[in-house]
Amino acid sequence: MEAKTLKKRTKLTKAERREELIAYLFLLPNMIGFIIFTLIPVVWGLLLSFTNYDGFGDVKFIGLTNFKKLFQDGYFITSLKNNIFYTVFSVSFTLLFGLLLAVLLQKKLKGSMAFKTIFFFPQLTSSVAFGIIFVCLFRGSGPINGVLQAIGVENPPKWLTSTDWSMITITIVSVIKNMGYYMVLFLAGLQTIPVDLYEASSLDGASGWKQFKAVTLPMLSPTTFLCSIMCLINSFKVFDLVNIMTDGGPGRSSNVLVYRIYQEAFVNYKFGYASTYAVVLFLIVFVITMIQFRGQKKWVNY
Amino acid sequence: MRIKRLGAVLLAASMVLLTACGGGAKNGGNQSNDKTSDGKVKLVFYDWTDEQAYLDPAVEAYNAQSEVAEVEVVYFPATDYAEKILSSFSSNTEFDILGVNGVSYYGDYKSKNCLQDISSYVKDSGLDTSVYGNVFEQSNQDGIFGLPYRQSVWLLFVNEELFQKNGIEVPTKQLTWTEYRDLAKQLTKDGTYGGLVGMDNFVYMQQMGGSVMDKDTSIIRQSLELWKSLEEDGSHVPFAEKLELGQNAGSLFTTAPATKVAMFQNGTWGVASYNSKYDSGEMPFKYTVMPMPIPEGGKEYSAPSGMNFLSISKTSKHPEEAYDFIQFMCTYEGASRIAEKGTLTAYSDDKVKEIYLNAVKQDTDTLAKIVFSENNVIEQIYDENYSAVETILKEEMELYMIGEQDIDTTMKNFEERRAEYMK
Repeated sequence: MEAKTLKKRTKLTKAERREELIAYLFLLPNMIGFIIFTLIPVVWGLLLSFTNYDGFGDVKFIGLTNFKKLFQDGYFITSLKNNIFYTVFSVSFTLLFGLLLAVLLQKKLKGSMAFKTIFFFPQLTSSVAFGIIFVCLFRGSGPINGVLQAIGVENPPKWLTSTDWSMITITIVSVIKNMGYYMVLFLAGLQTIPVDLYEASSLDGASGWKQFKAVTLPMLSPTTFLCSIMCLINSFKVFDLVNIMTDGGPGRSSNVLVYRIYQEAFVNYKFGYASTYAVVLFLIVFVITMIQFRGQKKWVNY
Repeated sequence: MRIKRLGAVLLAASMVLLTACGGGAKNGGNQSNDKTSDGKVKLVFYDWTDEQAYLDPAVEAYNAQSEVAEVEVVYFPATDYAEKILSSFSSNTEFDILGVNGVSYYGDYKSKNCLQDISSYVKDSGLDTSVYGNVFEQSNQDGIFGLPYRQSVWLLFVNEELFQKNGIEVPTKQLTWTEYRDLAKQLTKDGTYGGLVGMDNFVYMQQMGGSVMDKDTSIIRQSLELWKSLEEDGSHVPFAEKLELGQNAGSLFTTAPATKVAMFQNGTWGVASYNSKYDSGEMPFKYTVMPMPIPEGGKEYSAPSGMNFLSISKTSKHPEEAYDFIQFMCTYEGASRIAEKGTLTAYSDDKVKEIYLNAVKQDTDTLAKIVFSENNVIEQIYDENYSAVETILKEEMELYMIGEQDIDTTMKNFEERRAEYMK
C-alpha cells in the first residue's frame, strides 16, 4: 500500500501539478483574507494582553500583570456570571424552541410556509432595531406589562430596570430573535431522516413521543451537535442587545464579557487589559467546545 | 486551463490590492497632495455630523478669506466619532485639526500626547485667552492644547403652558434647590410631573466644586440624596422610566401632547434644536428658560459648563496654518458665524452675544444671564481615571435610584470599587 502511495506521488504529471497549483491559487484569496483580517489581529490581540497599551502611545510589555488583575476584578467575575447565565438559558431555550418549531412545521400543511417565514423573520432584522422595539415592549408601562396586569398579575416584573430581570429579559429577546435560524437548521436535519425508520418503529408499536425519542432525536443528533456548538459560541459573543437595551445595567446586572471588553478598550483606553479579557474569553469558549467535541462520541450518531 | 489559472491569480492579486489600498488610503490623501492649485496648504479637519450645520458656514468663511490654507472638513457619525479619533491616533493617520467633544476627551488626548502644544502660537498671535473664562483656564493649566469654539451650560427648559394650567407664574428670580423642589411638587398634578432629570449629570456636586475623585465623598452623597428626594417627592419622572428611555428621555418634554413634564434639566445644546422643532411644528409649545437651581448660599446663575475645543493633531505637518484656522474659528470671525445658527460659542464679545441672542429668539434676557454668567463652573477637572470612576458611580447610583440599595450601601460600594483608582 505504502509502495503504491509512493508510486502514486512520484507519478504526478506536469498537468496534475499545474492543477494542484491552480487549486492553491484559488484558495489563496481566502487565505490572504484570513491571515490579514483574522489571524494577524488574533495574534496581535494575544500579544497585547501582555502589555499596557492604551491605544495611543508605545506598547510596553508587563508580563502577566493583566491576567493577575483580571481574576481579582469584580467586573470580570460579574460579567462572567452574567454570561454563563445567559449562555445556559439562551442556548437551551433557543435550541428547544428551534427544534419544537421544526417538528411542528416540517409537515407540509397549509400555512406552514407562512409560519416558517414569520419565525425566521427576526433573523433578517438588525439587532439594533430588534432591541429598540423590545425596549418599548418591555417598558414598565408597556404592552407586555399591560397584558400581564389584565390577566391578574398585580406586580409585573420591572424587566430592564430590575437587576433580577434585566438578564432574563435580554435572554428572552435573544431566544425570540435566534430560534428561527435554528428552526431552519433543524428542518434541514429532519429532512435527512429516512422515512422507513418511522415506518419500522410504527410496526413495532411506537408513535408520537416514543418515535420522537427513539428515532428523531438520535438521527437528529449531528444537527443538534452543530447547532449547540454554534449557539454556544454565539452566546459568549453577545453584545448588541446588551448595548442597546441596558448598557450593561442597571448597575452591572447585565454586563457581559464582550461588553466589558468594549468598555475597557474604548471607554477606559485599556487595550492591553481588554485583550486579556478577550484571550480568557477565547480560552473559555475553546475549552467548552473541546468538551463538546469529546462528548459527541457518546451521544452523536453519524 | 490557462483561464482558470489567470482567474485565480487575478483573484489573489485583487485581495492583496484591496488590503494595500485600505492601508494606503488612511494616509494617502494628505501625504501626496497637500497644496491647492494656488499654493495654499490643504488642511484636513475631523469633526462629527451633529456640528455640520454651524461649522460649515464658518469654515467656508475661513476658506474665502485665507491666503495660507484651505480647510476640508471630514464629518463622522456622532456615535462613532470618539472611536474614529482613537483609531486615527493609534494608526498615526495624518490629519490636521480635530473637534474635541468636552473637557474629558480634551484631557485624555492631552495626557496621551496626541495634541500639539499651541502655547507659543497663542502668545505670538497676542490672543487674550481670558475672553474664554475660567472654564478654559482650568482646562489648560499645563499649556494650551486647543482653543474653544463652543461651550454649553446647564439650565432648565420650561413649558410655561403647564405652569399657567396650575395658575403659577414662571419664577424670574434664581431658585435654590429647596425652592425648586417645592415648585416641582406644586406643578405635579393630573399626569404632569414637575421635573425631569434627563442626563446623568451630578449638577449639585459640580456646583459645590465636587468631583467623583474627591477623597471626601460627602458632596457626592448629598448630590445623590437630592436626586432621590426629587423622585420620592413624586414630582419628577421616575428614574426607572428615564432609564428605559435612555437618550430619548427629553422626548417626554418636547413631544406632543407635551403635558408630561413642566421643567427639564438639560444643556444649551437644546436651544437651537428646540427652536427648530418649534418652527417645524414638532414641538407644540414655545419653551422658556430658567437658571439651574443653586445650593443654599450659592452664587446666582452658577451652573456646570462644558467646552468643545479645536486642537491640532500630533500628526499634522502644518501646525502654523492649522493654528491660523483655529484662531479664526475661536475668535469673532468664526464665532459670529457659529452664533448665527443659535449655537453658544466659547468666544463672546458684545457683537457675538447680540448675534447669538437674536438667533435663539428669546423673549427675555434670562438665557443671556444664564449663558454669559461669570459664575458658571467647570463640569469636571480632568483626571486620567475620571471616566472609570464616574462609571462606577453611575452604576451604583442606578441601583440606588431604582430602590435596590440604600445610600449607605451605595456610597460604601462606590468607595470600595473606586479604591484602586484613588492610589
